[in-house]
Amino acid sequence: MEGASTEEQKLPEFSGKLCDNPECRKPATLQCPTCIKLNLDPSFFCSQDCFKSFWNFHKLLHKKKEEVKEDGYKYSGPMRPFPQSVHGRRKIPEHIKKPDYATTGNPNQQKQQIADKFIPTFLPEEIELIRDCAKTAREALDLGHRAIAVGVTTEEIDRIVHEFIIDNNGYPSPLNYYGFPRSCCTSINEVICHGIPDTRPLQDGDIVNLDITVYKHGFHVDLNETYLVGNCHESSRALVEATYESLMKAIDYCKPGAMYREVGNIIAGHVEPKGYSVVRSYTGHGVGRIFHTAPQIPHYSKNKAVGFMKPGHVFTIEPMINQGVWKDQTWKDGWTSTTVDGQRSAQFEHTILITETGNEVLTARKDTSPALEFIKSV
Amino acid sequence: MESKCKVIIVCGFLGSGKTTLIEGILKAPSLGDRKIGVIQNEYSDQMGMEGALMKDASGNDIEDFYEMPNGCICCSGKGDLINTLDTLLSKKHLDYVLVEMNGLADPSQIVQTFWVDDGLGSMVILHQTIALVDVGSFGRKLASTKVIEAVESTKGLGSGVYFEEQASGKEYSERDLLLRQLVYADKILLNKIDLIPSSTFEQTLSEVRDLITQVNPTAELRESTYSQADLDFLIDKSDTAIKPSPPPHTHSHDCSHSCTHIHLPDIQSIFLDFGASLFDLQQLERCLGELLWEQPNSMGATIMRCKGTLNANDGQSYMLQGVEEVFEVKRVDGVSTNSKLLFIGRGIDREALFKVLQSCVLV
Repeated sequence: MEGASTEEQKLPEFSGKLCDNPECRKPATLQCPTCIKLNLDPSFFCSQDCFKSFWNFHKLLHKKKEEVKEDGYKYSGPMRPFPQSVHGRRKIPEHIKKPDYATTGNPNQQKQQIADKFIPTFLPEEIELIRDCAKTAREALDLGHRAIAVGVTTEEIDRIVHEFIIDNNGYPSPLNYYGFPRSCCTSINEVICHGIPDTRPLQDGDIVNLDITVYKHGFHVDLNETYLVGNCHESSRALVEATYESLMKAIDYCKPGAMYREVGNIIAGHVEPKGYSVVRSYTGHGVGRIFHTAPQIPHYSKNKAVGFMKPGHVFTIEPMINQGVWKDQTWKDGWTSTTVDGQRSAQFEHTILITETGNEVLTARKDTSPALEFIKSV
Repeated sequence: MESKCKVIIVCGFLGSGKTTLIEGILKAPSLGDRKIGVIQNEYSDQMGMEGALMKDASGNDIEDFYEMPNGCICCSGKGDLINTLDTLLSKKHLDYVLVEMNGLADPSQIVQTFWVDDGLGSMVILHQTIALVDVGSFGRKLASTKVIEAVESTKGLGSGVYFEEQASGKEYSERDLLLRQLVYADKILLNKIDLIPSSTFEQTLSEVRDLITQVNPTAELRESTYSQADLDFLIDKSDTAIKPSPPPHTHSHDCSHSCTHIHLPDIQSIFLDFGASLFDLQQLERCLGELLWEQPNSMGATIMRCKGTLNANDGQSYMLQGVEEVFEVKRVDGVSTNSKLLFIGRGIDREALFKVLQSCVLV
C-alpha cells in the first residue's frame, strides 16, 4: 500500500482486499478507523466480529506513532520496533552442543579467524556433518515459511524455528551472538537484515525475510529467503524476484578457480540495470566451524575481495537488494539495519560448497519446500 | 560533491620522529584552515582497550569517537575503524587524518585497513604512507635479526582495539619491519641527518639512499632534521588515492654484481616495461590473483607490493595497485604512454614474471 494518501483512505477501496485476521481472509468490508486517524498503513476486516476478535493483536500496530516521539531515532520508513512478550533468551537444553558465545555473547574463535584471512578447506567427513546441519537449517526455514501469514508475529515465527532447531539437536546460531537476543532474524519491508523478532503482527502486503543459521555437529549453516505476505504490490514482488535471480546467477558462477571478487560484479550487473541498488555494508562470508569467517564476499561490483574458490570451501552468498539507495542505517537496538530512504529491501541466501567440478548448494530448496510467493503462477 | 578526508599513514620505529612530524604538521602556519585529526596508538591504563586516541589539531581528544551506529561487526564490509571514522566525519569535517602507527606494526595491514573499496562510499580515502627513517640507526636496524614479539609489544605499547589485527601472530625481525616500512611507503623522510658524524656524512647518506632505492625505487625521498619537511611534501595537495607511480629511477637494480653498492639479497624490486602492449584485463586480474594470492606462488616468489600503469584492450588506461594479497586494477583518466609495472618482493624471477604477465598481453 505504498504511497496511499490520507485522502484515498477516507474513501477506502475494498475490492480485492482481504480480512487481516489470518484465520479469516474473507473479502474486506471495513477498515480500522484508528489506523486512518494515526495515518498508518490501512488495515482491512471482513466484519466487526473479526475486527474485535483480532483487536488484541491489531492494536499493537497503533503504538508506533507514540513510540517515535519517545525514542528520538530518525526512522527512515514506517517500520518500528515492537515490544517483546518473551523476556530473556529462549532456553537451550543441556545436551545440545553450543558455540563459544552461547553463554558469553562473545565469539572469540571468530576474531582470530578473521585476522587470519585463511579460507578453510573442509574434508569429506566434515562436509557430511555440514550437510546434516544444512538439512536441519533448510527444514527450519521451511517450517518458519509455512507459519508466515497476515497477523502472525515474528516472535511466533522465532518460537517455531527455535523449537524445531533444538528438537533436532541444533543450536540456533544467532542466539546470543554478540548478544543477539533471538534465535533467527526477521527483516520486514525496509529492514535490510538483522531484524529482531518481536510482537509486530505481519501485515497484508509486507515482505519478510527469514534468516536462519543452525549450529550442529560443530558447524554453522546459514540461509535466508524473502516471502510475500498476503497481497503484495507488484513493485515488491519484482524486487524479491530480482534479488533471488541475482543470487542464483552468482551461484551459477561458483566453481573451482572462480574469483570471489567476481560475485559482486554478477549480482550488481543483474540488479542495477533494473534500477535497484546493492547493499554494501554486509557481505557474504565463509561459514563452518565459525559463524562468520574468511572469505569475505562483497555483493557490490569492483571490490577487492581476495582469493580463488577451491574444492572444500564453504561460504554464503546473500545479496541484499534495495528499491532505492544502497545506504543503510541501524536502529538503536544495535542490530536492525534499514534502508536510509525507507524503501524496501529484499534478500536471499544460500550456503554453498565448492566441489571438484562446480558447486553444491547445501541449503538448496527441497521438493517439499513451500513455493516462493514471488514466482508468478501461470 | 563532498570532498573525502585524506588518510596519511605515518610509520617508522620508536624514536624515528613520528610524533614530532605530526606535531610539525599541526603547527605549520601554511596549514591554513585545513582541518586535521590524528589517530594515535598510545598506551594508556585508563583507556584500557580504547587505547587508540583521536585528537584534533589542538591536541584535544575528539569526543564520540567510539560510537558505532553502523552495522554489526560480524559481517560488515568496512572495518570498525572505518565505520567509526565515517560516523565522526558525518558530524565533523576533517581534511586529513594522520595515523601514527605503532612502531612495531606491519604497515601493510594498516594500509589495507584504510584502502577501502570505492563501492563502500566511505568518507575516508587513503592518500599516502610516509615512512620515517632514522638515518643514524638505519644500518643497525637493517642488520638486526632480533625478532620483535608483536603480540607482547602491542599489549605494552599500544593496545588500541583498532590495531588489534596487527597482533595476529606474525612476528618480524627489526630488519623485516624496516624493509616493510620502506616497501609500503610513498614518501620516505631520511630523518635526524644532523646526528650523522660529519666525517661519514656523505657516505652514510648515499648508502642509505642507495639501499632504499633498491627496495622501493618509486618512493620520494627527502632529508630532514627534527622531522621537518615542506607541508606540500608531507600532506600533498593532489587528489590521488594511492599514488600512481612516478617514473622509476633509471637504476632499477638490474646491475650485475660488478657494481660497487651493497646488495639486499632478500628483497627485489623488479620493473617491467611492456611498451605499447595492450593487456586483456580479465586475464590480467586472474594472473595477478595467482601471483598474489598463492604465496609463495607457483614461481616460488612472494610479492609484497606492486604498482604501475597499463593500457588495456578496451582502449583505456588502468592503474595497478597491490599491497600484499589485496590488489586493484582501476581505470584512470587520460592515456598513459607505456605499460609499466613494478613488483617488490622476495624470490622473484624477473624472466618468469615477465613471461607470466606477457601471457596477458593481446597479440
